[in-house]
Amino acid sequence: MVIDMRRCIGCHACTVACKAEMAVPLQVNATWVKIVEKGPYPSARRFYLPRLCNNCTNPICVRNCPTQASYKRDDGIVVVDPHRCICCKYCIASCPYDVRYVNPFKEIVEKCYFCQHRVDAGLEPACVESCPTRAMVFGDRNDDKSEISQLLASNATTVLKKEMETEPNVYYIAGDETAMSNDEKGINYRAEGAFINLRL
Amino acid sequence: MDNTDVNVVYSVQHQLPLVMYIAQYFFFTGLSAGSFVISVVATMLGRKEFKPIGRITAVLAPVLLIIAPLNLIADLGQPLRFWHLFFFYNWTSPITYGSFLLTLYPIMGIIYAIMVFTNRGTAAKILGIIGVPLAISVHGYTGFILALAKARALWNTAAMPTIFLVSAMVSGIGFVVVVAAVRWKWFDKKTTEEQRAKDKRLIIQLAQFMAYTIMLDLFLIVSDILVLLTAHADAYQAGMLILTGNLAPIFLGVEIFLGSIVPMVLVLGPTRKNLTAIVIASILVNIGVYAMRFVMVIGGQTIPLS
Amino acid sequence: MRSITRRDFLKIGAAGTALLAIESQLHPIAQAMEMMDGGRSVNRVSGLPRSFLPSTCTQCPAGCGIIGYVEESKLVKIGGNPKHLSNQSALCARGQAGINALYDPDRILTPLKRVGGRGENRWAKIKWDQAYEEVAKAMQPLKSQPGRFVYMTEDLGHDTLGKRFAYSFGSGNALGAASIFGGNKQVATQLTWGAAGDMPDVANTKYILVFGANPLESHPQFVGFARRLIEGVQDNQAKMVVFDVRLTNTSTRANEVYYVNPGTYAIVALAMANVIMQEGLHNAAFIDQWANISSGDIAAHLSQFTPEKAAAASGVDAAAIRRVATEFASTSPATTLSDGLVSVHGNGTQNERAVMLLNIITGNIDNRGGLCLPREFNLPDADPAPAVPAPTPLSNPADLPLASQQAIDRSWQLIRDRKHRVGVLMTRSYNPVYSDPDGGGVADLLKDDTMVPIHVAVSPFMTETAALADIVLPETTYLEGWDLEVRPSPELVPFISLRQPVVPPLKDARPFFEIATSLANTIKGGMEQYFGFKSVEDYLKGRIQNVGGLAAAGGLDYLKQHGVWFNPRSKPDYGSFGGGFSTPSGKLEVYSSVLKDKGFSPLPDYEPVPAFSSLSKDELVLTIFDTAIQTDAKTANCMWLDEILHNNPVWINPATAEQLGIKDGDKVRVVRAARTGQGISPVDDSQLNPRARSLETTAFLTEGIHPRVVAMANGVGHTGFGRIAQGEKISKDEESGALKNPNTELVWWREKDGIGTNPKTIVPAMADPVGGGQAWGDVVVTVGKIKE
Ligand SMILES: Nc1nc2c(c(=O)[nH]1)N[C@H]1C(S)=C(S)[C@@H](COP(=O)(O)OP(=O)(O)OC[C@H]3O[C@@H](n4cnc5c(=O)[nH]c(N)nc54)[C@H](O)[C@@H]3O)O[C@H]1N2
Ligand SMILES: Nc1nc2c(c(=O)[nH]1)N[C@H]1C(S)=C(S)[C@@H](COP(=O)(O)OP(=O)(O)OC[C@H]3O[C@@H](n4cnc5c(=O)[nH]c(N)nc54)[C@H](O)[C@@H]3O)O[C@H]1N2
Ligand code: SF4
Ligand code: SF4
Ligand code: SF4
Ligand code: SF4
Ligand code: SF4
Ligand SMILES: [Mo]
Repeated sequence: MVIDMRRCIGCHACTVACKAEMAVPLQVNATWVKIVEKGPYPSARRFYLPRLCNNCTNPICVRNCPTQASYKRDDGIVVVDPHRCICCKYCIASCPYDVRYVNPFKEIVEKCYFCQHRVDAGLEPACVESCPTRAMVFGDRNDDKSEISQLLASNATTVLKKEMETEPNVYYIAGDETAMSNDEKGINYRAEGAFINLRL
Repeated sequence: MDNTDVNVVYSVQHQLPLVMYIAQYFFFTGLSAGSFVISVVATMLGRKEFKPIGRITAVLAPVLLIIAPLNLIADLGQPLRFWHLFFFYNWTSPITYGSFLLTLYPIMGIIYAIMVFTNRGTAAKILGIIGVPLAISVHGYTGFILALAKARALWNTAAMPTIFLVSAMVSGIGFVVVVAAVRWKWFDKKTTEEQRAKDKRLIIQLAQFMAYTIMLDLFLIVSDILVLLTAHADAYQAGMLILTGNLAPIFLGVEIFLGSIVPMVLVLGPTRKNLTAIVIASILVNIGVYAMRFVMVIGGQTIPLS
Repeated sequence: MRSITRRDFLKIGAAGTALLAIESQLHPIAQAMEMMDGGRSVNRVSGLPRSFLPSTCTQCPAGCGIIGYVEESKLVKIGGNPKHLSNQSALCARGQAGINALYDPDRILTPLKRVGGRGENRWAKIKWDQAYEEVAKAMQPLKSQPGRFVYMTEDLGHDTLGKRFAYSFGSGNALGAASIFGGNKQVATQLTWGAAGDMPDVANTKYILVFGANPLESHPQFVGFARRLIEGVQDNQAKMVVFDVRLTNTSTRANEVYYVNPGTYAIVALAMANVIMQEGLHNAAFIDQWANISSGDIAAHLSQFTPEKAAAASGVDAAAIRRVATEFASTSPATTLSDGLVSVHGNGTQNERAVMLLNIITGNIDNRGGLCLPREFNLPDADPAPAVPAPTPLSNPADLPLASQQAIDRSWQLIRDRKHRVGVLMTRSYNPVYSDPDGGGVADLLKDDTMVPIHVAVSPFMTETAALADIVLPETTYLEGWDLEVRPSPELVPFISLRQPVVPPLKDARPFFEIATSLANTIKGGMEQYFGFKSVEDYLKGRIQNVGGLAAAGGLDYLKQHGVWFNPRSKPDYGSFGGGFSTPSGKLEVYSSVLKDKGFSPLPDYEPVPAFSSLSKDELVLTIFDTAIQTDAKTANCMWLDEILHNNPVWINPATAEQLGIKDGDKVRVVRAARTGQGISPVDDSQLNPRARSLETTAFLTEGIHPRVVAMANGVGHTGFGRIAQGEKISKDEESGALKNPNTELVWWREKDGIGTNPKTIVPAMADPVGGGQAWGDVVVTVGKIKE
């Protein structure tokens, strides 16, 4: 998946699309749009960052799952088998991106799996379909003719926390460095309903 | 980059995946491993005066280790599926080797205890030799659970398993000291005065050994923090979190001061012959190690990843 | 249905990009149409296709095409209609969360009759027949003075059925609330080029001047327009310059951002126009041909608005005004973009006219990439249509000569002053207690049965307004009813969109067509002859029978199948004014004799907002803005939206906050200053509801706001509208019947962040005397820390 931050308007349509498509309960999110604001008045700007599971090529979550409930499909999508997961939550602790959550109704771990059921049926993921400005593009990177390959070939892209060597498969065009890092030193968490649900 | 004028207007963080159950579990495996090692040392040395200690610890080790995984299972969202761990194992996951170790080790521990009680010294020694690496693994793997969660800077260090082991020794000895002291004071009326004096000396020696282990533990923690503070940004944050953040009171106050410094002073200082002081020190040590498990498990997850 | 392979899907993706190609706007849609066969979705577990029905979203005025996916007669998902010209398969957060409104556990599903006093919220469930009888009994005696039946809705322009109901009863008092949204803009554009509204062709332009509009967050055509704006600035590399009082999603994408003093757009725009005329960068030929006064006259009028004078008033540097003006005039095509809320000041109508002048003098009028006339089908009511009764003082207040039927706040005033006696008031799709200025005053009025003897609320939800009714008629939500939805097309090719039930009405809820028909047939007295349709489909067929192309395509059946119709071969007909504008002179009325006649300045002009002159050190201007997550009063019962946006701390610039001793997160009190009333149409503060003078909230310190302005988001802080809108958890054991949803147990935000405050409670009703639109923007406040 490629997310073009030059097109993203921070509208959260993707967030709600996922809630609807995946029946994601309240309190948890498989995807969300991080928003940071920086710079002094009057040059302050906002930067958006839709975040979701990177369906990594080298997923730590899969490596650390003790039951093989998390596994990688042949096409590279990382999924959780809901019948096998024992909900030890170790994959959540292992993932560098905080994109996994416990489904409070089912007591199993879930995350974005690139809408595998839609992709299998030849459809785009729900978030991609809903995006008003077509900031998200999904496709097969190994197919040279796909739109996504062309985008990747003609633009500089970055991934989240490259140093984790998970080889993320969500690429950002023009992603903002601050939004992409989680170096929260001195950062002030506030405003439009920031949801920080740390449960001890 | 100077982040002081950055406002995170919106983000989502998920609940902490690993909670108190896990910290508690780490604590109990630590106690068990520590007890077992002491028991084996006592058995190996074969000295008569060590015998009671060897016996107590031989019982404690498997009992503690049966309590420990109960915490784990209670923590599972799907406790009834715990058997998946054995049927769908994944050898790259530390939890998988943990689940096998957690099965083998108590079985071995029970047999060992039987050997100890039935005075089959050689068998006990052999089992002890096999058992020590197992005990070390059982506890060491818990360190690996944290260390292999690469994203969490506080955990992701090669020192983590060793830190866990050493602190396990500390708390294990502390626990044994308390049990032995209680036994000495109230339940051991039969032995001679001379024997009691010997036993008391032994407890004091054990406590001193504990103090030296604390030193080693402190050395490891200090070096870990020094490295954290000089490594990449997340690591720096992790270091600062426990030194100056929310968890600082627990880390510096409980783990380091109450749990390490005070016991060392009590055990090595003027009160070094005072059994009450030693017992207090040992209890404090255990509180400190419990705090350490808490700081590590919770603290490691407090830094947002998103 | 033809199954789609992965290859096709990639092709569709490619078609998606082709859509962005500026050349061919329309035919790729037809391609996607063929391929997608109306959109698809599959069950997540079984992978089986879901059944679907296209319809139209009305969670906001944009009217996007949706597809309702249904499993076992339950709506499981709302997706975008790929065939729809406006949104082209995309949907915003609110559109997708509409499912939460449909299954709101607190929906009203049987007619209710008040027991106990008004507003005590004690109700008896009654049968529909009894409800109709009761309303008929109240309305029949009014037959001799039908004007005493008053019908109020927010968007009268799109409520043909509501008008039909009132008119067939003989009442001209079908009232809309344009005065609380884009009223001034509608009047300004109508006066200038003879059509209400505009549609900047942003996808094809090279330069966009934005005045106080925020289309990447809220816009009357949100999804379609935001897409086109991004196409413009990203694919077409148009330069965008934004004038606003705060940092918005739009200004963050702009090349240049200027923070203007509130209420001063007009002088900035006029000074730019002056520069353009002075430098000779204007399009003289266009002005000569199409403006109703000469270039010379325009230049002479504008010469008073020097950049220096504008700089002093607006705070925008004179050199910047010069440079931006020059760039705007020398880039072609170029357009301005100003929306609903540019006009929410006492001088709003003139603000809007000043901005339009920039397009007129540069010839950027209805050209490719310029400011275009809105393209929207004007569908007549079906035959037999009732005669439109003569205007009444309520529908056309004498002191607001240009604000026909839409100055609802003035109507409230006339009722309050007993200038008009109401017999029965019917409110529908309108929640004035929450939305209107001085909502507290509206609530007081609704509680007083000497002013409103009978209040019938047609509403699916127990809103703050419905709670003050005598009878509540539970209408279905938009997902269970029928209507034709026409909107100005962002693609400049007009379309007709159908709203049809994607699921049958829940329990006893009834669509408004059925309610109106049954009522008319119970009331009788002649109105029943206008409600003799066999079915709603017959009625809708009557409304589209004269749309040529549609009839050929299959009429209503085509709409039922595809959800939307537009002429697939037509392209934007730029220069559609070729035969002249629909103004008295047939030209662009830079000089408006209508304004002159009514005693207003006939030329685009700048009049400072009196309340803003010499603000003291601690006086700040309050701005209320819309967000991408909530629409006004409409969406707060959608939990997926509330989870993202549920409170509205007041934005304060850190420099200002420091002076006031306020820190981020502090509890603060926002107090309306008495000078607020010193508007262009003055309001006596001492006459205003004293309860509604201040509100409490928390402070949000941000570098993204003018130091003299504070801002709060609209759409949260409900005191009615059900438990979800108020952030209340619904515990497991409470009975919600068929609407039970375990998610309602997980509502978390009220405890953690609170549910915000409705900022409109401290806004008095103040109208621009020209357009009659509310001067929301003219509120002066002080902000102080609440000491604990
Ligand atoms: N996503 C979304 N779309 C919507 C709606 C919604 O709530 N959400 N609501 C719908 C409705 S009903 C309407 S009427 C329209 C409204 O759509 P808009 O007219 O775009 O309304 P706002 O976003 O409220 O106001 C636009 C901008 O005006 C700025 N502003 C306020 N005062 C001043 C001033 O004095 N000077 C300048 N220069 N700028 C100022 C505000 O900061 C804000 O950014 O949108 C419709 N579409
Ligand atoms: N200060 C300030 N005040 C403002 C604004 C501002 O920017 N600043 N914005 C103004 C604007 S632009 C607007 S448009 C108004 C909006 O004012 P309103 O018209 O009051 O609000 P709406 O959001 O249109 O929703 C009206 C009601 O319709 C109900 N409803 C939804 N669907 C249906 C249906 O199918 N049938 C019926 N009968 N009811 C239904 C909803 O529950 C809601 O309570 O608020 C205005 N108020
Ligand atoms: S839907 Fe698209 S534009 Fe909106 S926040 Fe998501 S990626 Fe950005
Ligand atoms: S982002 Fe996290 S959960 Fe997703 S595949 Fe990578 S490591 Fe696993
Ligand atoms: S929670 Fe489930 S998916 Fe995650 S590691 Fe444990 S068993 Fe695997
Ligand atoms: S791809 Fe599907 S599952 Fe993943 S974030 Fe998008 S909608 Fe959610
Ligand atoms: S823009 Fe308005 S009409 Fe379109 S999907 Fe969003 S809420 Fe619905
Ligand atoms: Mo509006």
